[in-house]
Amino acid sequence: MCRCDVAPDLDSIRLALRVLVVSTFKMKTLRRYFRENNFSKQMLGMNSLMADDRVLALIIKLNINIDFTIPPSNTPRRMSHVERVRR
Amino acid sequence: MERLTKTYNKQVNTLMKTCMDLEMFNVLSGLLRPWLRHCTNLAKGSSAAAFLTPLHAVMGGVLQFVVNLLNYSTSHGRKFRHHLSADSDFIEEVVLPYLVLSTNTVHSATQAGQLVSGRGVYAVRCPMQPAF
Repeated sequence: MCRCDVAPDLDSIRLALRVLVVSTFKMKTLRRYFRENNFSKQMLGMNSLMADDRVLALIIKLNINIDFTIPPSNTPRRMSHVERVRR
Repeated sequence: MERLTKTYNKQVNTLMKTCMDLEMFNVLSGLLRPWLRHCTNLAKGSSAAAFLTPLHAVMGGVLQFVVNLLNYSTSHGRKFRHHLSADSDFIEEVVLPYLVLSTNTVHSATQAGQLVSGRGVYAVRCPMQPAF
């Protein structure tokens, strides 16, 4: 699994990002943290991390999970199964 | 081969369920949290490369374990992700502080002029540049 041409800390960063991408997929619990701490913006500012295309891909995936899977607040709430049955 | 893969997936599912039942990630975060805090405090002062090497090794192993569980399991995936992000404090207390610490270390190492990756920055950004 470990690629020998990459320093261990960059490998660990990639693994940690993979875990974050997986754990934020369709989960609302961590989105607030990412939005408040401006985390991805900090990472995008680091040229040394952006040099690795795989890290960049993971940051894009993380942003998609955080930002683009929540509908805007004015969108009507989707009805639950019980509500649909009652109608 | 198919039979072996099925058996392997089944064993990984069992391992994943056991990890959730025993709350192994809570135990792990309890073990790793003080170490991370200590390393974060040390990193503020002097050069971080020497004392971060064992931490990188341990965290690399733990994170690879999580990724392997998620990659090779065939069931309990959603439950496990929920367990990681909501039921345990592994992500908030361990993964996120570790990521912040690592990115800061890489950033300071790059600023100091150390080589971070085997591939050069210029080679990745501009792959079509002529070799002159």
